[in-house]
Amino acid sequence: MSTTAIGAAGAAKVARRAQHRNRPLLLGAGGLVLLLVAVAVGIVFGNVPLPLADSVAIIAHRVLGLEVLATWPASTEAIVMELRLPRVLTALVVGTGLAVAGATFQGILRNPLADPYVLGTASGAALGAAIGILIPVQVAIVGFGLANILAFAGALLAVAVVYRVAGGAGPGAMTTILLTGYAVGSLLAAGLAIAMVLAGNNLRQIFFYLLGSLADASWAQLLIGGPVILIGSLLILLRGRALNGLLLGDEAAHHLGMDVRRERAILLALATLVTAGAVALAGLIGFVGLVVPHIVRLLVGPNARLVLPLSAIYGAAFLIAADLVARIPGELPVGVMTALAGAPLFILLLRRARGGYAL
Amino acid sequence: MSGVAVRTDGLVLEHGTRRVLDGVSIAIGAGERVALVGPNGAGKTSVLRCLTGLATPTAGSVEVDGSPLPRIPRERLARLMAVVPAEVTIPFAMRVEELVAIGRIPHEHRLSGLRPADHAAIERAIERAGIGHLRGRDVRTLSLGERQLVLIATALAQEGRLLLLDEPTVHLDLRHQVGVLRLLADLSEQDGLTVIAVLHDLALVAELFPRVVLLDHGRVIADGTPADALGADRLHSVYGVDPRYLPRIADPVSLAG
Repeated sequence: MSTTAIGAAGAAKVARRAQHRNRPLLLGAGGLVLLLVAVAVGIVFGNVPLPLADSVAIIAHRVLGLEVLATWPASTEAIVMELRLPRVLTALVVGTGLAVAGATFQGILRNPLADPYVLGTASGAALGAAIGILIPVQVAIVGFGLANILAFAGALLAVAVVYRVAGGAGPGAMTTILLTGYAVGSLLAAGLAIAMVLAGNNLRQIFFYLLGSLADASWAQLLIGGPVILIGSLLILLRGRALNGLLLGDEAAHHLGMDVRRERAILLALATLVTAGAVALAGLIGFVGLVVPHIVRLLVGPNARLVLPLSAIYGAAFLIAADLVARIPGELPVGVMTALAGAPLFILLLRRARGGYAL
Repeated sequence: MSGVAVRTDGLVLEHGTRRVLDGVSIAIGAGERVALVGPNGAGKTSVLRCLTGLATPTAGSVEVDGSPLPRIPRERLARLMAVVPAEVTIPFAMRVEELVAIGRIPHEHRLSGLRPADHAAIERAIERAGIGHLRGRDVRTLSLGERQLVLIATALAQEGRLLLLDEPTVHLDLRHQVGVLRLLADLSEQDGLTVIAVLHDLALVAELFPRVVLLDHGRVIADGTPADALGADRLHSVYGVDPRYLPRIADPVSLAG
């Protein structure tokens, strides 16, 4: 009798373990379906609701090059191709980038409070954008205005300065880097404040940049910024092993055979590049990069090989949805929406954290 | 399988002008079990750091498995030796088996991650450390003693033939101290691993380690069996405490007898 009982308990245990192993696959598949739905809804809904069939047909015709009998009005085609599709795809790319960069920063800094902006990218980008807005010169390089370009450069420059001042990414350097990031960020924020005081009529524009927006999304920007973000994110995804190795700290990583300095420098550079691409495309959208990786970790644990791809999928779906909700009442800043929708969801999940993965 | 031999020759380590190690030469054979003891600041952890390559000695050399340490590629070294650090902080909630899986990093596939052989090694390590009942628990909710066993399991999953431990019994109650040290004894006697541990409890060391290296001021003061190395006079001069506080090592109390 007792052997049967043990056998049954053992079988239950095996089943439970199998469930654990299948969960990430289910979440991945579910996430992709969710993402597809988000893209479809994002294209169909808006100020002018469009028929789903027409939207699908237009995309099949224009993007996939299929022969479809054009039965839709030209205005519908213009809305789908020039407004909705680039906007939804920009949200997808930016959401992916922010979530992956957030998971990466949390991992290399070993700090659950880290987000893509933690090392000064936000203040660097904001100051760059503000300067770009204040300089009364109209520059446009492949669809990017001066503000976008300076935001991108500002984000990269801020982290480069932090990295140099902190003296690299050697073992045990992460607290120094974090504190240096805070100091440099504060300095840049002071610069931003000065720029805002001097801004006069341009203040509103700077303000909107700070809250993040996808309203200006365009194909030209997406075709440059998209690959930077997606390729950077992909390269991070391929380094899941390094991120796992850093989980227990520098010395443990060393004992696992890792070149800590090199791996962390690479991850830091990639995550910064991805973040800079995201802020150049959409301004400072908060919350996605902080919360999405945490939600994913609550569900599948800290293994970077699962956290990174799932964060990418759910980050993308989340930002598309947030942008949709933000534009329905008439262009609220999407950064406001990510916090309004994300914070309660996150609190709910924290409270109901399924056994084992409480934060 | 046999353990991995280690030797240091004239190891000198300086931090600025401070000489932390001052000519440490220790030769440890494959499968030996050695305790490094000595007062705080004696250089025990520094010896360990030189053995793992975390610290680069100012002078002298380290040999692992017959090769000079600097010539051994990182990944190969990680498959030769596993280290249980003195302190590990875990930033995110994590299940026991997930933590143990981190030990497979030197073996796992760069892209596809854990393969069946890795899962088997994780299972073996969990069984060997006797923590099967903790599987599925969040590591951060475990007691210190349980946590130490999980960290040892993580090192075992790495499947090195040399196990280095930095104060593995610190903060543990007597039962867990004995449990951890018994496990180390089994690992060397039954599995043939070379085990080197920095320890503080001299009485337990005397019971459970056949060889002790006593360090003070960065030098080896004594190296031998506990009875030889930990004589009362020597302990008195090294630790500088009244003899009545010293454990009676030369005449160990046999639990069996």
